[in-house]
Amino acid sequence: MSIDWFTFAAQIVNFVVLVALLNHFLYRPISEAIANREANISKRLAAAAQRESEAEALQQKFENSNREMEISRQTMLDDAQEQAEQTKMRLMQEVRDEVQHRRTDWMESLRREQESLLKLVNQKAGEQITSISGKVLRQIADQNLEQQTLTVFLREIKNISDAEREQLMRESSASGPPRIFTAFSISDERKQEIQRQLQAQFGWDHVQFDVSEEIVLGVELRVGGVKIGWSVQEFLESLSDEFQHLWGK
Amino acid sequence: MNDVQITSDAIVYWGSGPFKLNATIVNTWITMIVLVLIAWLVRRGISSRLPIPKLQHLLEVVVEFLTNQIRDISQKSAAQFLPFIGTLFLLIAMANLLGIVPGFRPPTASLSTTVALATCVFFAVPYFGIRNIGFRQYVGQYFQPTLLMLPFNIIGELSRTVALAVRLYGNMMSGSLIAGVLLLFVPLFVPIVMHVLGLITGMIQAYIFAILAMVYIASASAARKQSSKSEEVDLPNELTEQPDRPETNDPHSIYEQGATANG
Repeated sequence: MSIDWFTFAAQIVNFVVLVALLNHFLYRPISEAIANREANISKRLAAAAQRESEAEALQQKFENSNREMEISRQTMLDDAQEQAEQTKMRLMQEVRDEVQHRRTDWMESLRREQESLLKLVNQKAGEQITSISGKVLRQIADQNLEQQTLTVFLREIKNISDAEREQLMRESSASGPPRIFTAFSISDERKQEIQRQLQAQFGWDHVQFDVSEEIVLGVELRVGGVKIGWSVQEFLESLSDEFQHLWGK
Repeated sequence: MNDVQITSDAIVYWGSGPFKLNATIVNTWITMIVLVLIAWLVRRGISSRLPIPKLQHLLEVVVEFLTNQIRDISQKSAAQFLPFIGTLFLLIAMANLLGIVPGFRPPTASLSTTVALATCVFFAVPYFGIRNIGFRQYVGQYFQPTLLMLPFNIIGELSRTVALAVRLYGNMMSGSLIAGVLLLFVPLFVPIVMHVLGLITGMIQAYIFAILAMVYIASASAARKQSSKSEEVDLPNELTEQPDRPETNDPHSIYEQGATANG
């Protein structure tokens, strides 16, 4: 157990050299690596914390946005429902009005058509009545009926007013001889009888006798523009005028 | 059993005057080369990003372990002590570990080596003490609690240095000696068990040596508080220079732990 002083000194030198070498090759690089890694980890943790914070903020923002969107959606839905309800009511009212309007128009049109049809029916009825009456009277007219008609004519001539007589006389003097129209040819006896009656009443010497199918049944005395007498045609025309008057209303 | 069989200093490969290349120096160089080679390999592929290489991870564990131990003992930043304490631990541990290689005699089994390392600690204590608390305060420790204690303090410094050297030498030398003796009587199996025990002992001794060195250095560097109590009137400004020193620091208690662990 002794100390070799050269070895002692050499070992001190060796140790100092080893301290320097390991400090250069081991402690400093390892410490720096650890420090860098810790700094890197701290940085990443800080970044992660920041990201987490940002993520939480984003999540909060997203939730708020979702909530606002939900509220907005509900509001819009309510508004849309209310608007749809109002539109529905308005459209239904419009449809009702339109239906009512069309119904009114249709009723009016129907009423006009009814009136028009009624007018046409009435007109046709009047025309038919007039036509049928004329046909019937033509078919049933005969000498006896003609005689009765002439009798009535002579009675009316006899009972004519003074004013009418004077008018007829003025017309006669202005426009020439009077003319007698009948539906059938009458006998000479009756002609003479009529002529005597007219001569006695108006003082006419000559009277012309004519047959006219338009008269249907009756006798007419025409002097210039004045006409006097009795015929079924007059009644028919009067009836027709009465129909026209009614239709005009 | 003579001295040649105990220490590797006597195995001289080459000599010229006072210079001689013995097995202790050569084995120390081998240990240094292995350590530097490992450190160089790690440094070459060092990475700050995950995943890190396995060898780097191993050395990071060792460095972290040493850093934590130094920080726990000194209650200061480990950066200034790490190269010295770490190299002590790694050199002794690697030398003892290489002892399992047949023909390799651990340089720590040489008293010259242990005394050299203890001498380094002996000079490191005032170096770090003065660097941390100043020359005046450091020297003032030797006069505590009274001037009469100066010789005892100096003797204490010397004796603990000698104890440091002899403890390591004795443990390592005895391990080799016991293995050699057993090899004579029981050549099979038992020497292997003793080698394993020698490895454990070597690791423990490396740890004890480094920790005790740190305790001595920390004791010298942290003695300021005890000194400041007595010098409060004379050195009021120095109390405020290092306000972050922990209140619970008690180097003596740690020293007692280390001494107890030494067995």
